[in-house]
Amino acid sequence: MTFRALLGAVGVAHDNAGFAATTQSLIAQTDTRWQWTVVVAGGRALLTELSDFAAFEPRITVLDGSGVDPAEYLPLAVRSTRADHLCQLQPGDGLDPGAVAAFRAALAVRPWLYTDEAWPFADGNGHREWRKGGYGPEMLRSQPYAVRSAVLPAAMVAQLDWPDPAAGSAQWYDLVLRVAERCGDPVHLAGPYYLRSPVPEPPPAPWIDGDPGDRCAVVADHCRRTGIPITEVRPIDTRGRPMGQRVVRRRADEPSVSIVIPTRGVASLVYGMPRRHVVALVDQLQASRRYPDLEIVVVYDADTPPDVVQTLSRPGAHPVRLVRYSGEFNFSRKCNIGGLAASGEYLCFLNDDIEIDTADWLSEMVALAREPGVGAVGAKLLFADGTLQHAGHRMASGRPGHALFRCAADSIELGGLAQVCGERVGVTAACMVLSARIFSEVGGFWEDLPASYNDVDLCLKIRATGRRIVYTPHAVLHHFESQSRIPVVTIEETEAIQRRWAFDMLHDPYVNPLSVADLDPATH
Amino acid sequence: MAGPSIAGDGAASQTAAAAPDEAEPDSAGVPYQGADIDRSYEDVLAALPDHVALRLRDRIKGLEAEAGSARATADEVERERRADVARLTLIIEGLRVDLEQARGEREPMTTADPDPRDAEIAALRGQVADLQTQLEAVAERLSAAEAGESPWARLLRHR
Repeated sequence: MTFRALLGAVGVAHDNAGFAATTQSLIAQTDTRWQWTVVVAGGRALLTELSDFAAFEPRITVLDGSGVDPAEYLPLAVRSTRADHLCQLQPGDGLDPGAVAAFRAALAVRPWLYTDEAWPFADGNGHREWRKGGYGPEMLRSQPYAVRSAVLPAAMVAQLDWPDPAAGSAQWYDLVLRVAERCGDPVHLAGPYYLRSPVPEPPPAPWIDGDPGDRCAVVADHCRRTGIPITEVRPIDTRGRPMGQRVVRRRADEPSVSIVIPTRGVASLVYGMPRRHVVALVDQLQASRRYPDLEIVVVYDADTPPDVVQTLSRPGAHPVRLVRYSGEFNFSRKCNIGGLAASGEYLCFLNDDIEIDTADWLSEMVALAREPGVGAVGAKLLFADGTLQHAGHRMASGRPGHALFRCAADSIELGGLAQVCGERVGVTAACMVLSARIFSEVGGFWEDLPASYNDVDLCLKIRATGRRIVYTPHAVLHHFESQSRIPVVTIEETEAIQRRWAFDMLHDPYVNPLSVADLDPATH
Repeated sequence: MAGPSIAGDGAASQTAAAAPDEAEPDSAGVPYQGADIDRSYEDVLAALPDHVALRLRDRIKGLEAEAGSARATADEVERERRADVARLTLIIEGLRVDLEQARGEREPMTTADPDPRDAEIAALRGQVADLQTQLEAVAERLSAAEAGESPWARLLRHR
């Protein structure tokens, strides 16, 4: 009977470095149903050397790559593999001894998976890890985080129109995107089951493979196949390191948007100068004509200074609707009143102490919010000193917080999470875009949460409908919320949110389960 | 893994649980009219002032979330309990083997002197008895849960 492996690994050897190490990592597998197919691209002598080396192990196949187009190396290895699932395993890379066994269990649940990665120091003293979050299609478009360690169904790969000659060095990224289009969500197997070839000083994650141009080309191709209207895909570099790429969506037939601003008309010092927040924000919105169909809805408290209300009612480029609110402080109720008074097809909830940095911030957020399956979109918010106030919500031990709170705006921590678009468990209502239809469908903001967690609740309600919440770093705004402000969360609010979402608040799909213990609930 | 949330799954399973009734008349012989009920519920909401409808929708979503959360937590507790039972069963089997082995080694001995392994056997017996008690307690809770009598089931019923 012909041997058929559970896992067929494929790689390309340009020299003999790392071949023995990879072989050892495979032989150490507790589940022996693996196969490794290597195309030798280093000439006849290398082919002989590696063939001799692999002669003792029938599960290793060495193929002659001489005369083969480099773009055909991996496809040749894939075609020669007899296995249920495929993964990339370059000489020098390795798998954790329990990897194949863990893959088998996970692949019983979903047709494909990806794992965390580790990059060992060459001196044997430890390694760096890339602990990844759960899967999100927007995240995969923005960063090839589920590519190097992906395990794909061989039967599906055989049916695909792959390889695309234009994919170049991003061939495997192209393959993973195509599988994701067909198979949907994978399993994220937490733990560094995939080990990269040791180097003297591995850099911190993310570790982005492939030429930036090739990556952008395969993502653009993916967008065309999936009907996402784009103008371009461009690489993102932060601190001189590749983070992923930005999908720039085409601006066409932009829907009407109502910006809802709850306010009390207060002023405070910003950069040492007094700033009447709502007036400054509305002035900035009125001065910009970047978004064609815009309405501004200001929900103001009864004690708002009359001159502020008068200033806001001045005619401008966009219509302003002023809604007076009477009653004790309740952010949720004010937002609901504004949402109901708004006429736009989409709503943008915006705090008044905001300054817009990105000219096309609203187009970026609305384009994402219009994507099928997306329920709400959040922006990158910075404190006055330029540190991160918001890059999406994260749950830590059942408590919501802001990802990378107070980190540098160009932080590449958590695999560059703040620098690329991606799914989150929630985003702040200080700047949130969603459709008016979804807002109404889920019942708006929960008014029993007058000050805290109302955005957490809204996002969880949206997620419960099966929609995704997306964060974009390509809409940057300053939020002049005091960094030293201690958020006052009442016991009633805490009890209320936990009563509704006890389970979901303990299971943030975008936080790596191995990192939960490392997160500081106060500042994560 | 970022699939639909557990609360969503819970709501879906609740809907699915009601499905078999749709085809059958109830005890009074009146066919189940779920679709009409759903439509009238939407009609009722549509007829209300916007802000009232919004609050009601929020309450409904909130109750669904609470139910989904409780159900997901109950499922997780059940999974853990089953794992506990499996683990305890395995330990007991291992101890039984140890006990039998100790007995087998003890019996051929004819000396009247007290055997130091008697104490070991007694300790093993004690451990087996303790674990057996734990196992029975867990199994009892498991059966109660399966019969819909778990604290979570009660919580869900009274919600």
